[in-house]
Amino acid sequence: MSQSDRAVLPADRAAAIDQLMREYGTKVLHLAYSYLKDRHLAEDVAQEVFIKAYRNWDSFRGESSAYTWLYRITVNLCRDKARSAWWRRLLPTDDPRAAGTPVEPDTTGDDPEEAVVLSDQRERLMNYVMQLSAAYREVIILYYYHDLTTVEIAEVTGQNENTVKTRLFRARAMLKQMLQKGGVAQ
Amino acid sequence: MSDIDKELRHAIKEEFDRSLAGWTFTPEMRQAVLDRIAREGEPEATPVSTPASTTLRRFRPAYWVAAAAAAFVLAINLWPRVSTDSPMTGSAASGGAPESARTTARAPAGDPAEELKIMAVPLDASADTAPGAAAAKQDAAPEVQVTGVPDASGAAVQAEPDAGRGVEAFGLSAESVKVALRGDEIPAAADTARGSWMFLQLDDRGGAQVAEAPADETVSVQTLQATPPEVLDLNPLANGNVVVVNRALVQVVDAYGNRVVETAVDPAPSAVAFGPSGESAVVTSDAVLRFTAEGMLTGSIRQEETPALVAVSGDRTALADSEGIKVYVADSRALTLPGLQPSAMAMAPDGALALLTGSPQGVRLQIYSAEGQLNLDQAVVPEGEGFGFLAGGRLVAVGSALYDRNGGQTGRLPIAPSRVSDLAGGQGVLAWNSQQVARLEAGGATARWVAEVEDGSILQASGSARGDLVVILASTADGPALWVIDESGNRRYAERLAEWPADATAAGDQILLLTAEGLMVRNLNR
Repeated sequence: MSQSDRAVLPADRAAAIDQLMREYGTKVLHLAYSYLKDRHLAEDVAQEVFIKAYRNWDSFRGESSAYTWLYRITVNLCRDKARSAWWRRLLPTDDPRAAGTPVEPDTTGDDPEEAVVLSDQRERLMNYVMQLSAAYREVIILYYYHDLTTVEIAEVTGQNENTVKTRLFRARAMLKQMLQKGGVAQ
Repeated sequence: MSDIDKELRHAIKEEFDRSLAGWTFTPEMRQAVLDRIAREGEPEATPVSTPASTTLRRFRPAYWVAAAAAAFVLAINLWPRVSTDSPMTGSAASGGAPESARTTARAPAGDPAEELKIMAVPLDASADTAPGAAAAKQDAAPEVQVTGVPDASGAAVQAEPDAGRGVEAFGLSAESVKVALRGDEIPAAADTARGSWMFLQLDDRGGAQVAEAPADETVSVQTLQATPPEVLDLNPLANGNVVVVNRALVQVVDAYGNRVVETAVDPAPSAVAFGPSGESAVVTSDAVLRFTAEGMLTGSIRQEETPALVAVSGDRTALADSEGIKVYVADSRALTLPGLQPSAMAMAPDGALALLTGSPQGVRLQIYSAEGQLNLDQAVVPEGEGFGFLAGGRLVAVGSALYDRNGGQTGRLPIAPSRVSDLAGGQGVLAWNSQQVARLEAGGATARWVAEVEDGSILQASGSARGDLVVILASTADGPALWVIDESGNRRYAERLAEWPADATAAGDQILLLTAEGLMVRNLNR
């Protein structure tokens, strides 16, 4: 969906949600994972996002884009989940690859040795991103992975834009420091 | 965009995509959503929020006029107290347990026997408040089976689900207050009439440092220099002090930021669980550290594996890991329940363990005595994720259903809670989910009030140190919003926040917000 206007969605509520699921389902799933770091929980939350979107369809007035609306629901549900009695007891510590697809070094480049080093660096970067606290991780993921602007991130997370910018700045600095300590940064 | 930004974006995208490659929102997931939508049917267009028979307490502009007038006087009177060592007004005498547990349900400090009887009475029998009346009524109800009582050999009796059958909800009586909360009714965050936040920077080396904000503005993150310690949890104590757990320290500070006790924690803690009386268990990568309610380190349980669940009560600590459940008394293992992988675990003040086991399609409530005897093994159908002991451990909340120790369903909450817990001091029960918060009467069978956020989602609700107030933190269309509601359903306080706190609660006359940068304190009366 290239337009954010609600008008481009089917008039039927269920059909509209179906279209949103096809368009944004995986993005919502991955966003949930970036918060929860648990694939099973992320799958539950991603489905819950669309059910909640269906229930609150009237609140989507098309003033914001569909994805920011869905992301906002996702963020709220993830925060809710993260605070739930069952889950909050342990902050997530698992590696992004721990429960997922095994990652093999990317050796598609000309120089396999260089490719392995590069792959290792990326892996470490991703580890560092996932080690950031939720407040900083969310801005990094939303900004760099989901391509949201700071204005959109503010809308999604309920922060003011200055807070988002501050966190983005700090998160970058933290990542830089971590990369330098880890020997990745040049 | 700078080159560094481009590189970072490229690297993050590439690696994130690669690590999650092939993991998509599948057609099965989509169909599952559509099936649920089909079952639910068309949602209500507009939630009913104002039944004619209930008293809707609207947010009154007059409140702000009064608050603005009082703020000036109170600011002068209260500001010097920042640097004193005196405890918070009234808190020391409260004698109650701290606010609801983070990982285990808390029980009031007093004897809750009377509450149990009353809470067990269905709504339509609210007049039967004499001790034993509820039990008698329960016995008389054929639909509610008292099951799971150990037979002579000590083996537990297994029972089938009886969720909801013949059990009335703790419904809204005509006297119950329905509170409609809307973020757009709260004045903007820039409102200065209520004074400023007092900011307590929780430094990970030197302890709490008080930094006063300018009187006419809310403190922003830009005022801080140091890299903030990551905060985990905030727990107000009955004596007015506050336990703050961050990545480096467990600190107890008084309500004005003065450090009372401080213990360095290394390796960094990853989680904390609180017991019924404020005792805590702090989880690190190689140990579980035990703290008293006063923040004193009392012991350490070495662990080779980070536990998945932790429950604590007094000097007992239960840890669930891949091998099963291990129960420790002080630092010595007292009991092992091998092979159990519960999805939820709670410990009662007497050491009994309540577990939810089984699969999502076949959830079972199990209760073990402190000695490890299985006293109850019963199928349940949870409506809501809330789980824990209530009423001093005599009841177990499984979602919206309340069971006694024998498995008899004694009541049903008016909402399907994400969390449910006793309020401190036996002040009642707090249950909440993403839309509603219910405060249940401790001395009656009805909800005292139910609050609903109409334009957002509730992220957290917690009781105050005295159990008299409930703090609600919500995400609204206008950003983070905070409400404080008293026993009667009156809004004592409301504010839009500039950023998300990690935790929020109230103690005495103070609102406490734990942010990534430290503890923020504000007087409720401002």
